[in-house]
Amino acid sequence: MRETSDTSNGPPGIRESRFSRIFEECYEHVLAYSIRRTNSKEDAEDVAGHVFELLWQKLDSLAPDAELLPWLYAVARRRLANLRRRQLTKDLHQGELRFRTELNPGSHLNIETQDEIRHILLAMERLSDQDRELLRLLAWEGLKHAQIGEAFGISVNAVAIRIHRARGRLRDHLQTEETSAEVGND
Amino acid sequence: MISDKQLDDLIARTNPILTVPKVTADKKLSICESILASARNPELMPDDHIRLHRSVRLSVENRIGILDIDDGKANVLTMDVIHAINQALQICELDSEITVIAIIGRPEILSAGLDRNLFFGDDGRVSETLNALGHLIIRLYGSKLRIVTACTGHAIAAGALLLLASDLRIGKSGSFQIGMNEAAIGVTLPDWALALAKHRLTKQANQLTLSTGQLYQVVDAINAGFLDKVTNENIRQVALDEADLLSALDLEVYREAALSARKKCLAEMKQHIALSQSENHD
Repeated sequence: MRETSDTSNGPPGIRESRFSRIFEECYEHVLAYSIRRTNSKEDAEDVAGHVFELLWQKLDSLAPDAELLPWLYAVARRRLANLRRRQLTKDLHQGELRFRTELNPGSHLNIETQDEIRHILLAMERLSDQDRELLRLLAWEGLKHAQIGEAFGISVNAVAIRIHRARGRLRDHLQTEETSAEVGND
Repeated sequence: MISDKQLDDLIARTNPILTVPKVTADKKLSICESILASARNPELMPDDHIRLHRSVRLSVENRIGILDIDDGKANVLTMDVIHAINQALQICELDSEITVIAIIGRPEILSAGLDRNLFFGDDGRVSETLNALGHLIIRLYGSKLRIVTACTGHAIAAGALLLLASDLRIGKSGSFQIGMNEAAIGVTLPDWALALAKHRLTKQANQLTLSTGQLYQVVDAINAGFLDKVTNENIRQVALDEADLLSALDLEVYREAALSARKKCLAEMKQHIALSQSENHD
């Protein structure tokens, strides 16, 4: 999502209108991105709010033709990671470690499909945070390689290589999941 | 084999919400106004870090867990501070995104060590604190992650032990004292600390530390084995730049090489602490 006209780095009124326009275009996308990763509307709203507060601070350093959505996703990703760490801190304070399992998003689907989704969720959980996020940006957010590169601060080539490797690792994990499910069914 | 397309379709099916949520124009306007109101006032801006203690905070940037220690005074390592640093290490080690931990002191002091008054009080509390410190130092030295420590000024006694347990130690140039002065102030170093000093310090520095409690000026602290580099630039930035370089290196290689070289020393340290704890129980 690129800005439609050049109103950057101007007087306060123009700065505000630039901010409002970006907010108008991107807020719901950032909110959706955050809900997908927190399963909590309150946390997602907190993340989205933080993202746009940071946008206000950094507005003058962002080029008028910059691809903004990947940048906003990158800020949201860091904020979400900190929310997870805060939760971990609370758990440590309580003397227990609870490992979060993802809400099953396919609860309205039939059992066979739910099983399939459970398999892929388990395999995804075994990926590193970075691999998982790369694949989700592609499949959930529908970003192109160049946009993912913007979000991670890496080249398009590097994105292609990392996605290729992440898919390879996911295939391996899926294979393992299937094998253990078969053993379990025997 | 599942094709890329099939794989992407499968991942897409795990998406908990398929459509972008609609927010009404009124609600959007009110959210936008409230963000602008707090954004215009930097004091209201949320600070994106985790505070584990009033003087210990953890933030994460570019795969680096940044642990700032600042009590506004001498950065004394109390039991609470030791516990908070331990927690920060645990959080970083559980986080697959973090590959390096940077420990950063406050201006002009990394740490003056344990509270000196502790040694004039209850013996039980002394050994409890020393054992907790020992566990922390072992955790640092045996961490699966690389540790970079910014020695922002003085590092005395337990403060110097933080340096000995780190992978890369950067000192701020200036008239600062670094070392373990226990022998000079009549405090006996615990055996686990002796084992670490023997492993990290030069033979001469180790002898001087044990017999005289010698403190070193920053440049001499490199030769003794307390520091690796000295900078007169912004030490926080230098430490984070170094941490950034380290974050690109292979962690498995580090775990295999560095940790294996420390294995014997770590085992010896653990043994000393176990012995000290069992003596306390007797």
